[in-house]
Amino acid sequence: METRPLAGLPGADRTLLARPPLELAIAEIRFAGTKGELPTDAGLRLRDRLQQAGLATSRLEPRQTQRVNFTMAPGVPPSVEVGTSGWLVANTDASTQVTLLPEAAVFQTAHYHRWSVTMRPPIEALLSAVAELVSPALVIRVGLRYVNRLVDEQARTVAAWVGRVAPSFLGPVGHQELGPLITAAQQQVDLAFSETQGAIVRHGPFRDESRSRSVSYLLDIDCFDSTPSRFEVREISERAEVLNRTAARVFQYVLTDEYRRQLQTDGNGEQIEAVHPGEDVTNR
Amino acid sequence: MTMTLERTGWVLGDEEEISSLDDALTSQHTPAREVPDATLREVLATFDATFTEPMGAMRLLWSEKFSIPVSTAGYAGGWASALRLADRVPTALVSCWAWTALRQLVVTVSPGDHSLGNLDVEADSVGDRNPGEVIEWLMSELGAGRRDICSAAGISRSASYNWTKPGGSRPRVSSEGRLWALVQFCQDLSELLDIPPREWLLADKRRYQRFLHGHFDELLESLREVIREPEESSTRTQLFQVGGDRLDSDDEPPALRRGARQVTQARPAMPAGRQRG
Repeated sequence: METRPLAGLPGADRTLLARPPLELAIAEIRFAGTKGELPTDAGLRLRDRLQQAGLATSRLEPRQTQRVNFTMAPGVPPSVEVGTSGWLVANTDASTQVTLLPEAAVFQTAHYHRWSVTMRPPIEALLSAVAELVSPALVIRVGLRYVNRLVDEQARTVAAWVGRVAPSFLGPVGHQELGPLITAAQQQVDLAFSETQGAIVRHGPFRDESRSRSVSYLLDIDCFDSTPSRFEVREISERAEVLNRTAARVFQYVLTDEYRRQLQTDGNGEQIEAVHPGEDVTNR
Repeated sequence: MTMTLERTGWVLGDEEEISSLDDALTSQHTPAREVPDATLREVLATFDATFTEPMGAMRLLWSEKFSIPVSTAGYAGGWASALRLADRVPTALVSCWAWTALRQLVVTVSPGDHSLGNLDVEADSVGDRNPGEVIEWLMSELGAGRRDICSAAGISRSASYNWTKPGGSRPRVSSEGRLWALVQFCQDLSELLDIPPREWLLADKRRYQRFLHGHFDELLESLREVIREPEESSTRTQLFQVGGDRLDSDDEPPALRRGARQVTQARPAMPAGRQRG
């Protein structure tokens, strides 16, 4: 299947970033019409499925939702009851996590390389486990989110991002007089690709305490497809891949060409053939 | 922090529309789970807080359900917001779903038994209320007895009793005097003051005399003038002081101040010992 960005956006540049700023990649699938509670051995079966897909995990922990009822009147204490139960499967440092609940499945990783390697196998393994364990009738939402942190430890002011982030997104940071006075900014851009597909882009500079208090830039791209459909593993995986390509295109719109070229080259000025965040050389 | 809000089919106001906008944003958001990097976690929480208003749906209780993915700190904050409202909203059932592992809080709100509540939930248009009920509400809201309310409204006490009785007659427009102007006055006071209107009204004898004579516009104008003055104005201090021998205790919780008030569900009558009428 040919996967291209939504809304007729042009395909993304397929050159892999030598210095990828991606901190988190999150795929979430919400579904409905399940059997209800997960089987008691669901955690183990999920872990086995993921291991077969090449995902090494050591942590297996139960997860539980809690329902708290309280009456809004003086002197009436809240009551707590257990909601749904699920499982978290993760590696030791929690950089890769899989959560399964009767109503949603989530894959999250801090180590993204490329779609075909990092995302597709565990997502399909997770979906297969969902089909086996809870047999949902419907998928009601597919979400794919990439949290990027653009870093320059020499950046002491937000002005350092002028010329790197596209002026159309940078907004007042690029202002000649107010720009130098800005210490942080947050902007959210909502995009609608169709009635049920869209993206939420949050971005802005911030003081990065873990990078010598330099000014880093957050670029958080959350693409979603909430078209209800039958729960089919292959189809959901393809829809996620379309979101992936869309996110890649949006990512490239937000940054200037010059800065993207910098990210594409390693210390020796060499470009690496591949893509960010979603293009997959195997699909070229 | 994000929030989703589901519609209930009730008639919506502007605030509900805003909350529904939150819903449109957040129900489409893909929440992050555990974020190992502390700085990144904090930044994401900052962005969440910027773009959503936690517990915003509590502004109106016509909403049934919303969810709030929160950080640990935000989680506590969300509860604090909820609990702060506890003495200001009518009896209502609120259900919170806390996805502790997923850092997600889902809150379900349903209108409770308003007749048991302490708040005048504005369910109906004031024009649809029985004037007898409105008088009792004014007595409670302004801390005044029936005789004074009738005096301020320019209506006879006997007529007011007749309107209050079960099966009592509906008043003719000509006999309602300044009743609806008084309701408006009370609402305006609630909008302008940070304290219950009755505390402001009862704090000054001359002020109260003007109230008894129905000089509502004068009183409001004097209050607005003070509000326009600087905070440190001695006049302001004087006008905003509370006290007086007719000031009620804190037995009744303060009324909830909100945007467009429409009024009114009748409140229980004031305790007999405080009524003058």
